[in-house]
Amino acid sequence: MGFINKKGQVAIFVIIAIVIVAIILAFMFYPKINIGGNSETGNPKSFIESCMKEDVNTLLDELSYNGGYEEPEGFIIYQGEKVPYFCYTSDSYETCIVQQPNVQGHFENEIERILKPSVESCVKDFKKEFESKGYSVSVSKAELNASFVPGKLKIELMSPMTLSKDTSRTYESFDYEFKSDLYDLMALATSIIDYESVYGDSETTLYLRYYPNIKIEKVRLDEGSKIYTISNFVSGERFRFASRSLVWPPGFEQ
Amino acid sequence: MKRVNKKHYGKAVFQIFLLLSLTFSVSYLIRESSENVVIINYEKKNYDLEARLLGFVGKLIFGEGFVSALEVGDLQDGSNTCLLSKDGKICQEYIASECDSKCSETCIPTGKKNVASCKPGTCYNPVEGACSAGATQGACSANGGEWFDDPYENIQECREGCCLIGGQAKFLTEQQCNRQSQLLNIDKEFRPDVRTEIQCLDLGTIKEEGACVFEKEFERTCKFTDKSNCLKIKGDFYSGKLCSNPELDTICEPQKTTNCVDGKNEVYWFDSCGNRENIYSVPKAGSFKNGEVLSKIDSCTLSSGNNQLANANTCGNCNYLLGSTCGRVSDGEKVAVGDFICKDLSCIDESGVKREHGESWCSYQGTIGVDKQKNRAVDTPGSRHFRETCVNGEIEVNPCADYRNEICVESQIKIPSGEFSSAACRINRAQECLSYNFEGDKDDIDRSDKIKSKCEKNPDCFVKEVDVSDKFNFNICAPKYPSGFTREENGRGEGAEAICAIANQKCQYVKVKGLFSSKEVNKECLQPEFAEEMNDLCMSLGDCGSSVNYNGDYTSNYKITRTDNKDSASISQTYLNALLRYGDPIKGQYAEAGDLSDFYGELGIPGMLGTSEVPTDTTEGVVKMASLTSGMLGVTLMAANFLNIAIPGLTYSTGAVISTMPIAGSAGEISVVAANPGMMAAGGVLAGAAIGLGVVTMLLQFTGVGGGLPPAVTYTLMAAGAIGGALAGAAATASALTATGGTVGPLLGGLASAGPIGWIILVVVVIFIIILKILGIGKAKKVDVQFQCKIWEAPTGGTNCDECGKDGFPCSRYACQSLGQTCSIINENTREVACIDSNPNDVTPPVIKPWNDLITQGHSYNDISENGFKLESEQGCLKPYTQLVFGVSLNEPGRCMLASEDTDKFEDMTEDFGVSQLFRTNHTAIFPVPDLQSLGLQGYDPKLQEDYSLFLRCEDKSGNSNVKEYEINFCIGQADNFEAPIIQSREPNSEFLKFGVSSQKVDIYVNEPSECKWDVSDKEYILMGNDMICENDLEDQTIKGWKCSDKFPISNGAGNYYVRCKDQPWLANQIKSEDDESVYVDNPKANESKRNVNSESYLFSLKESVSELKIDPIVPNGQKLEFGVEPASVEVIVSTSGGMDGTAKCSYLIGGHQIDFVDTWKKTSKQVFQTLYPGNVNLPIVCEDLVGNKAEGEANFDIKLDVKAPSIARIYVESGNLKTVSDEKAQCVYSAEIPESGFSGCKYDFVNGTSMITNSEGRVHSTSFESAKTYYIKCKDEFGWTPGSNRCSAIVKRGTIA
Repeated sequence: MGFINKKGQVAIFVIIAIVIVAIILAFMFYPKINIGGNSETGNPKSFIESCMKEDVNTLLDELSYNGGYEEPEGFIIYQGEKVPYFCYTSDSYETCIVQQPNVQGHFENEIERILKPSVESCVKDFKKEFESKGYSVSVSKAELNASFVPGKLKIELMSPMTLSKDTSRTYESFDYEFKSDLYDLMALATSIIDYESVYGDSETTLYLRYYPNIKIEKVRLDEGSKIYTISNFVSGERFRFASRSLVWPPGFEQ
Repeated sequence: MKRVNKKHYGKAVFQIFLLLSLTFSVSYLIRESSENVVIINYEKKNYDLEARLLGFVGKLIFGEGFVSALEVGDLQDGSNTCLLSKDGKICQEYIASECDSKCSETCIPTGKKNVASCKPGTCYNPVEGACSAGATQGACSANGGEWFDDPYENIQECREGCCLIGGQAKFLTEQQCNRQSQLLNIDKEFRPDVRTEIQCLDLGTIKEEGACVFEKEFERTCKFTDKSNCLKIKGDFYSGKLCSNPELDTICEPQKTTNCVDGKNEVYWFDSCGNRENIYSVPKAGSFKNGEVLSKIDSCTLSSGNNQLANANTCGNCNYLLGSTCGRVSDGEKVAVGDFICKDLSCIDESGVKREHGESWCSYQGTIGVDKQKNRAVDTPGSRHFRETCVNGEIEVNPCADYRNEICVESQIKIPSGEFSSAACRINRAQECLSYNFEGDKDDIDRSDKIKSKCEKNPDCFVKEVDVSDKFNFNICAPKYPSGFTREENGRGEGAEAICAIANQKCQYVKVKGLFSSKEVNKECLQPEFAEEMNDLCMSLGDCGSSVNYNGDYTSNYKITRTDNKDSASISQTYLNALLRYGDPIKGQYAEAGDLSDFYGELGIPGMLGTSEVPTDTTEGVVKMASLTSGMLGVTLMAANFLNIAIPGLTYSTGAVISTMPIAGSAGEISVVAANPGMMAAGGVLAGAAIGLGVVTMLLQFTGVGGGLPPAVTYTLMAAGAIGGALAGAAATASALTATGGTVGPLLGGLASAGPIGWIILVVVVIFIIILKILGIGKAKKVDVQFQCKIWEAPTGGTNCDECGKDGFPCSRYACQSLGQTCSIINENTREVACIDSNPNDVTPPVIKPWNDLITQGHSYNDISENGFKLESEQGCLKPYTQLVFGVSLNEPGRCMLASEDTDKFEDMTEDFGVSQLFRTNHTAIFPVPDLQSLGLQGYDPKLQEDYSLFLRCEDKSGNSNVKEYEINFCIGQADNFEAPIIQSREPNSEFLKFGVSSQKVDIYVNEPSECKWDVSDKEYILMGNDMICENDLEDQTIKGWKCSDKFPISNGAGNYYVRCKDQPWLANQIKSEDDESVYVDNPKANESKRNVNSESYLFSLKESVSELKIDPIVPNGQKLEFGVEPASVEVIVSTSGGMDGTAKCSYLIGGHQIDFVDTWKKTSKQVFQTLYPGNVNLPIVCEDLVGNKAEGEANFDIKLDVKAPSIARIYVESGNLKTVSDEKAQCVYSAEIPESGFSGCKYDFVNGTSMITNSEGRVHSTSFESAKTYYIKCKDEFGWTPGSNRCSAIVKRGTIA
C-alpha cells in the first residue's frame, strides 16, 4: 500500500511535472495564448498600447513627412504632395514670415486630434472584450496628451476607468512611450526656419557638425521655394517642410 | 517730274525714318522711360527695392503708351496686408488691386510692418521653452506663445545653455531643459555658462561614467553607466572603471565583441555582459588599460601621415569630423578583430578627385565668370550653378537658384592631405552692377571714377571696357555672372529687352575729304571689331546677344545697321569659334566667395559692425565660412538713366582743328588811340593781323574746308591771313596818320609800303580757300553705325530638347527652354521631369491678322484681307505727330520682321517689327507719324498726301514663315498745323532744389519739333532773351516729346522762368548746315509766317531748399549699452530736419559700402542692428534728401556684455534676518530643504526657491534667519544670469558661510 501510495505520489508528481512543462511549452511556443486573469489582459494599458501602436507609428510616419500636418493650409505641391510652408513670403527680395512658430506643439496637437478616435476605439474594444469575460468595465471620456522628448513620443491617456470582477481596480491615466527621434528633427526644422526668417537662407552642412545621424536635403524650386527634408538615417524618420524666403524673381521676364 | 523726285526723296527719307522709329522704338522708349525716375514709395522696404527695380527695368511698363497688367496706382498706393490669404498663408502683402481677390479676410490698406499682428518678433513657448525668430504676434498668440518685440531671439528666455540630462548634452533654453527633465522624469543640470553648441556637445562626451556593480540572481554583475543611473538601480558606482575590471570581481569578461554605439562614432569593445568598454584597438591590453576608462584622446591613433584611416584594422578611434565613423566591415576591408571598422566617409567626384566628408564644391554647366583675355562675361544661357557636397560617402548635388539668380562660390583651405573646399550658393548681385552705371550726378566730374570704384568693390561686377577706337570707347559696370531671362509665352519682356538695350549704341563714322587724302574718324566702327566689341558688352549684360547655350548651340542675336544702307561688318569666324568653347566647363574654375557684408544691411539682414566681433570658439572658422559663402543676400536695384552715361568721343566736329581767336580791336578803337602815333601804328598792324586771321579762320570754318586740311596747311593759311592783314593794316594806319598830319616812322613806313602785298596775300588766301571749297575739300561724310543688342534666343525647333539632364545635372525649365524654341518641360517638380519638343511636326507658318483690340483711338484697320490691311484715321490718312499704336496677332507665337520693299523670304527682311522681337502671339508697334514736310515733301496743298506700304513676315518657333508678304498700307496727310506747340513735360519735376545752388539744368518736352526761348519775365517769344538747345531731328522724338534744354540761374532762393516755343523749325530763316551742325545757313525754304508760336508762356518755377539738411542728435551716441544676451540688438535712430522738407534717406557706412537704413525716407530713419557683439561700434551716417541736400553724422557707442551671475559680496545676520549683499542689481532666493543623500542642496531651480526681500536698490536681500537651517542661496541679475541649476551663489550652513 505504501508502495502503491508512493507510486501514486510519483505519478502525481510526474503528471504535475508534465503539466508544468506543457504549460511552459505552451507559453514558449504560443505566447499569444490568453489566459483570463493574467497580468497582460488584466492591464488595460498593455491592451490599449498594442491596439494603438500601429496607428501611432503610421501616424508619425505620415505626419512627419508633411511637417506635422494632416492637411496643411499654406502649402506647395511638390511631387504631387502638399508640403506646408513653415516660413513664407509672396514678395521678392524679402525674408519670410514664420507661418508656424510652434512646430512641435502643432505636431503634438495633430497627433492628439487624429489619434483620439482610434484610442477611444481601443478603449471601447477593451471594454467590450473584458465585459465579454465577465468584467464590469466603467470608462469615462478619454483625453490624450502627446509630447515629444528626445528619442521618444510620450502619450498620456487620461481615461479614468474601473474594472470590477471579484475585486475592483481603478485607473486614472496611462503613460505610453514610442521610440521616435522626431524631437531632434523638429528642433532642426525650427533652427532652419530661424535662419530662413532672419537671413533668407540656411547653411545646412553646418548641422553635420553636430548631428552625424541627420541628413538634410534642400531642393530649390524655380519659383523660389525650398523643400527641406530632414531625416535620421539610423531611425529612418523624416520630417519635411517648405520655405520661401529672400526670393529673387526668376530672371527678367521676356 | 519734280513732283516725282520729291516723292522719291520722301520715300527714301521715310525708309530712314522707319529704320529709326520702328526698329529702334524699343531702345528709345527704354531710354526715355528710364531717364526720369520717380521715387515711387519708400514707405516699405521691398517696395523701395521694387521701385528701384522698376526704375531700371519696369518703369517703362507703366510709362506712356504701354498697356500693363499693373496700374500705376498699385505702386503709388503701395501694398495691402492680408492677415490670412485664401491659400492659407498669414501676413502676406499683395498689390492693392490684387489683394481682395487673394485674401480670405478684408485687406488692410497698409504694409504689413504697420499691422501690429504681423509684426515679426520672437515667439517663446512658455511650456516647451522653444523660441522661434521672425514669428508674427498673431501667429505666436494663436499658438499659445509669448511674443517679444525682437525678431532675432535676443531675449533672456531664448538664451541657450547646456542641458546635461540622461547622459546627453543638449544646447537648449533653460525651460526646454526643465521640460525635458519633467517629461522624462530624470534629473538635469543646466549650464548657462556654456555658450556654444559645440562646447555643450563636448561636455556630453566627458560625463562621469563607470561600473555600476550590483547583485542579480545571486551573481555579482555590472552595468556601465553614470552615477545617477547607478543610484537608481541601487548599485555600487566605481567611477572610471570598466565592468570587466578584475578588481570589481564581476562576472563580466573583457573585450568579447566589438560594435558601434548609437550617438557615437567610434568602434567600441563590449564585455561579455554587453557593456560598452573602451575604444577598440589591438593589441587588446592597450585599450583595456587594466579595466580603467580610457578617454578618446588617449585611445589609439587612427591616422598616419595624410591617411586618416591608415590604422583602421587595428584602431576604432574614428573621427566623424575628419571623415570616418563606425560601420560594419564590408568586402575589401580588413579588421583584426570583430565585424566593425572605421568607415571612410570621403567621396570621389566626377573628375576623379577625392573629396573629404563635409567638403563641398561648385560645378558648372559651362565656362563661368569673366574671360579676362576677352574682357567679357561668359555664363551661357540655360546654364546653372550647382553645389556638390560629400556627406557620409555620398555626393549630393544641390542646384543654386536658376537663371543664375544664385551663383556657386567656393573657398579652399590647405589641409594635410591637400585642399579642402567649401562651397555655397549665394545671391548673384548681377543686377546691382548695372545699377551702378546710373548712380550719381551726371554733372559730377568724378562720377565715372565713383562708378568704377563701386563696381570694383562688388565681387560680382567687373568693369567692361569697350574700346573700338580712340573716339569710341567707354566703360560700363557689368555683371561677372549675368542673370538669365525667363521665357514666358505672353510675358511683357520689357525688362529683359531693357537690359540688353544698354548695349544699343551708335558709333558715328566720319570721313572728311582732304587736300591730299581723306581723314577718317571711327573707321573701326565699319569693321568686324565693332560688332565683336559690342557683342562682348551685349552678352555681358544677361542672356543677350550672340552666344551659345549651355549645350554649345549658337544663335545670332544682334543687328548692325548703317545709315548709308550698306552692309555692315559682322562678327568673324574666329570670334565665333571662341564663343563656342564657352559651352564647356573649365576644370578647377570657381567663383570667389567675396565679402558681401554690405548686402546684409540692404535687406535688413543682420550684419556686424565696428570693432565688435563674434566670440572665438571652435566653430568660428565654420561660421565665418558660412557667413562668407551662404546665400543670405539681397540686391539693390537702382533706377536707370543709362543713356545719359558719359561716353567720351562720341561727338566729332569737323571744325575741331580750327581754333577760334578773339578779334581784337575795331575801327572805332583805332581812332581813339590816334593821339599816340607809336601806339596807333602798332594797333593798326595788330588790328590788321587780327582781322586777316579772323577772316581766314571764319572762311575755313564757314566753308568747312578747314576740316579737310592738314594742320600745317591750315596754320599756314591762317598765318598768311594774319600777315596779309598786318601789312594791309599798316598801310591803312600810315595813310590815316599822313592824312591827319602825323609822322610815319621808318618801321611803319616800311610795312606801309608793303600794304598792297598784304592785300594780294589776303585775296590769294581767300581765292585758295574758295577753290578748295569748290573741290570739295573739307566735306564730311557721316555714317551712323548702330549696334542693336537683342535678347538671346534659343535655336528654332526642338531637336535638342532631350539633351536636357544628360550632362548629369537636373533639367530645369530654364535649361530646357534654352535648347530649342519648341522645347517644353513636363512633370516639373516630380521625379519624371522631362524636356520634350512640344511641336515636332509643325510645318505651317503663323497666320497674321490685325490686332483688333489694339489701335489708337480714332483709327481703324480697314480693307482687311488675308494678305494685309490698311491703317486709317477718321479723316482717312494718318495725321502727322500722332503716336499711332497698332499691332498684329498671330495664331501661334512668332517673331515678325518688316521691309519697305518686296522681298523673297523671311531672312531677307531687314527690320524688326514691333516693340519686342520675341516670339509672341501679339505684336505691338508704336508709330510716331511724321510730318510730310519733315520727310522733305514740300507743298502747301492742304490735300497733299502720300501712300506707303510696309511688308511683313512672321516666323514661328519651328522656323516656318509666311511665303507671301503681309502688307500694311497707310497714307500720311498734310498736317493741320495751325496750333502752337505744347510744352508737355519738364525736368526736374520737383520745383525744389538743393540748398545753395546757383543754377539748375532744366529740360522741357514739346509735342512737336520747336525752337524755344525763356526769360525771367513774361514777354513775347521774339523778345525773350535766352535760346534753349532743342533736339528736333526725327530720331530725337521721345515718349514725352522733343526735348529742349538750358541752365536757369538761381538767385534769391527761387525763381519763375517763362518759356515759349515756335514750331516747324525747318521753316526758319536760318537752319543748321548739313555739313556742320554748328553752322547756320540761310534756309531756301524759309517761311516764318507759317510757324506757330506760343502766345502764353509756360511757367517753370524753381525753389531752393530753405536750409541745409541737418542731422539732429543720433540715438544712441556716446553711450555704453549693457546687455545680458549676445548678440545684442540696438536700434539706431536718426532724425533729420531742414533741406527740402526734412525727410531724407539715411545710410550708414560699413566696409566702404553705403547701406541704406531699412526704415528711411522719413524725418526719422531707423535701423536695428541685431548682431552686435561687445566692443565699440562706430557708424558714420549720411542722410540725403530728394533734391540732393546732404548731412553727415556718426553713431558711436560701446556694447558691454554681462554674462556673469551676480556674486554675493557680503552676508550677515541683522535683527534676526539673514542679509546678503549682491555685487549688482539682483533678485535672490533660497532653499532650506535638507537635501537627499548624494545630492547637493543647490540642486533646485531659481523659480522654485523662496524669495528673499530685496531693497529698492536691488543689492541687499534679506529673509528671516534660523540658525539651525542651512540656506542655499541663488541670485539672478536683471539679465537673468544665475549660477545654474546645481550651483549656489552662497550657502549659509547653520550660521556659517560654506
